[in-house]
Amino acid sequence: MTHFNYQQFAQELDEIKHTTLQKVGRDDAHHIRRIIRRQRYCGWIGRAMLLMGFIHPVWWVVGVILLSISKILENMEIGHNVMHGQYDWMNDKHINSQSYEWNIACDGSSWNRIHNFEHHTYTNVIGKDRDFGYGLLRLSDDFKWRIKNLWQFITYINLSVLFQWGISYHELAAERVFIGKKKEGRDHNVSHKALKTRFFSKGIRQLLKDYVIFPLLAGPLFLWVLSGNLAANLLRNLWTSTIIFCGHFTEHVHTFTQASIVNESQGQWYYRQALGSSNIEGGNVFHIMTGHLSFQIEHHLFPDLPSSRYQEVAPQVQAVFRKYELPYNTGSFMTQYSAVVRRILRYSLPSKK
Amino acid sequence: MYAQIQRTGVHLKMFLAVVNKLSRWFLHHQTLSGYLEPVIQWFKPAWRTNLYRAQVMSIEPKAGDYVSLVLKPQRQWPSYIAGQHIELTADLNGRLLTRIFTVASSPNELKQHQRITLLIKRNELGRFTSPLTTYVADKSWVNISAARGEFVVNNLKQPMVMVAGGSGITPMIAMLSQHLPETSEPVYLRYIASSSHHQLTTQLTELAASHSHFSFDLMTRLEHQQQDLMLDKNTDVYCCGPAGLMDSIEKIALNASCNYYHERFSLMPVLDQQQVDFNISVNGQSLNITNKENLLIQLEQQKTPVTRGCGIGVCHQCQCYKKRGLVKNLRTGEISDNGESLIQLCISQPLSDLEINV
Repeated sequence: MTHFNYQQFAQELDEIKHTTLQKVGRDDAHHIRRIIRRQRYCGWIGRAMLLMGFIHPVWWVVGVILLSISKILENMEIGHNVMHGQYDWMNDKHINSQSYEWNIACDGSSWNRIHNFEHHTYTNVIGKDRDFGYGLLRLSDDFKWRIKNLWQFITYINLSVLFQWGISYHELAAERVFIGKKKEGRDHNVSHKALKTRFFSKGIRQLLKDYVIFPLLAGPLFLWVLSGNLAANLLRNLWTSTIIFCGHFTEHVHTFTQASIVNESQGQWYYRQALGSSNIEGGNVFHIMTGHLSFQIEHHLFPDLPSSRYQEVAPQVQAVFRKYELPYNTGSFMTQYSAVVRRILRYSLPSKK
Repeated sequence: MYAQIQRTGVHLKMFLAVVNKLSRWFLHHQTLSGYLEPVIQWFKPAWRTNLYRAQVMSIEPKAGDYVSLVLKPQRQWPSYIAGQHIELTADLNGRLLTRIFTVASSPNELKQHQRITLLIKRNELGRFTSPLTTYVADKSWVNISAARGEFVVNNLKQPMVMVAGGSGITPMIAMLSQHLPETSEPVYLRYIASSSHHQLTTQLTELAASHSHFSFDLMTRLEHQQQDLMLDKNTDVYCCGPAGLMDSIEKIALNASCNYYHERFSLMPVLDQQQVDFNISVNGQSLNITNKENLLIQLEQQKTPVTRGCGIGVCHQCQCYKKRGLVKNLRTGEISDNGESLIQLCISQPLSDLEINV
């Protein structure tokens, strides 16, 4: 790859971004507001349906599904994308990255630091991007094999089940706030005390809402609501975790060393983003339910381009990749997910070398 | 009865405070209305928290790069005093842009016809006015704030002289149509604009015809310079227009021992290619900056509490609210709007004096 023309590669991608941003406007504003409305309706109807469980359990199931959809839309298409600043151009007081706080256990500003900054700037750079394996899983030979990696598939399942808590705890774990050896020379933007306060205050409110307040409001239907909320949170956790693993930990996703990104040019940055992500194919509804993270490659190239434009830019990006003979890692959900499972299992064992 | 209303008011306030606290805790929105906004907008277009709605009755281009916008404010909108201004917020191709305009019609007209008129001058960059005529049509909805401003008629028992330059005619026309019937003192208006760019001339002629104590002159800047403004003692002088005009009229008024009142518009900053040093106000604290480096680096050097993230415009960590001023986005080359918007400090180059909140 010594002859790779990074500058020209960057120019072509910049051009795609530029022409697409020119088109951003009313349709995109309508898109995000429409999704917000649907998210609200699903949530309200879903919570009401949980109460109908005592008439026939099938209503409870419908309620769980609607509530899960509401939670998924809020986290993925709305929360993730709005907090990325994709809709800041609208100048809307409520729909922008500064004021938006999403409805999961993880504190928004903590996520902004870890995800928007670390993960998106240092994507798949070992030692810099703590999202690569989340400090729990060994997903490449860059990490030394340890005994605990033998059962890392079970660790992975646990992480998926508790995914929102995993994200919430992510920054504290990395900063060694509670346990483990503190790393020397780390520049702390935020004090440990502030991290703890935010972790608990947001987390406890989330627990109170779904497992105390709403069930209590339901009175005698306490258990229907409690179990419904638990089920909806579980479904949301599994879905988001699965989509995100498919975006970054499929079989052929590359990793990078810290040395390789010193004085990185825009072209090299794009190149790294291109090889560090993978897409999932599907229909429009599927893309919205993934928060358009099924276009993980496009999202990583243009993290603040409105998600409503990813479907449109994908063929253009793919054409550029083809021209530069870069692999465009995409496949059906089953293909990508089995690749994730294979990767987790493969690195459970020590490398053969 | 009054005490009862007051008590209900207090109860309502307490109730709203509790609701909003709950919505902050559990819905993660500052107010419940913020959480509901997109849903309410579906039924009531342009419904926004803390702003009033107004329906566009007509929007027409006028000579000399002006647009006349007639609005019907929602009934709850508190009226105004002639001469005051409002903030107009319009959804222009998905972007909410806000500008300040003086109401160019009288409160009486609002009372009778539920209408207010704004007279909007197209500015150089045209960020607001050109899309305004494209995206705002009859029957569409915009937002307005409550009226503000101190530039109002102070004394109806004194003779008045008004000097308007360009779009400075807007507060004058509101004052004249509101107050001419209420006074018998002589009122004179000198209205300075490029020839054939004078606005509202029919209305001025009608006012002069029905009020013998009112007279006016339409002048170009040259004509204004050639004819001195004659002022009697104890005249109230009102002036609105470019800074240079207001300074000179103020001098003349004070020399003639007249009372002087004016309205300063924070006009669009002029893009000066030569200028490199600017002033920035960060949370009210004033600092010096240049256009040689991005804002993040300069604010860090001056020990302002900014957040550093990626430094290349990806992560939005350093983002903050710009209240006023022009910046260039170093990634896209786009020049910002003068009004309030979010900017990423690490990729923003200052192009004018700025005001930001960190």
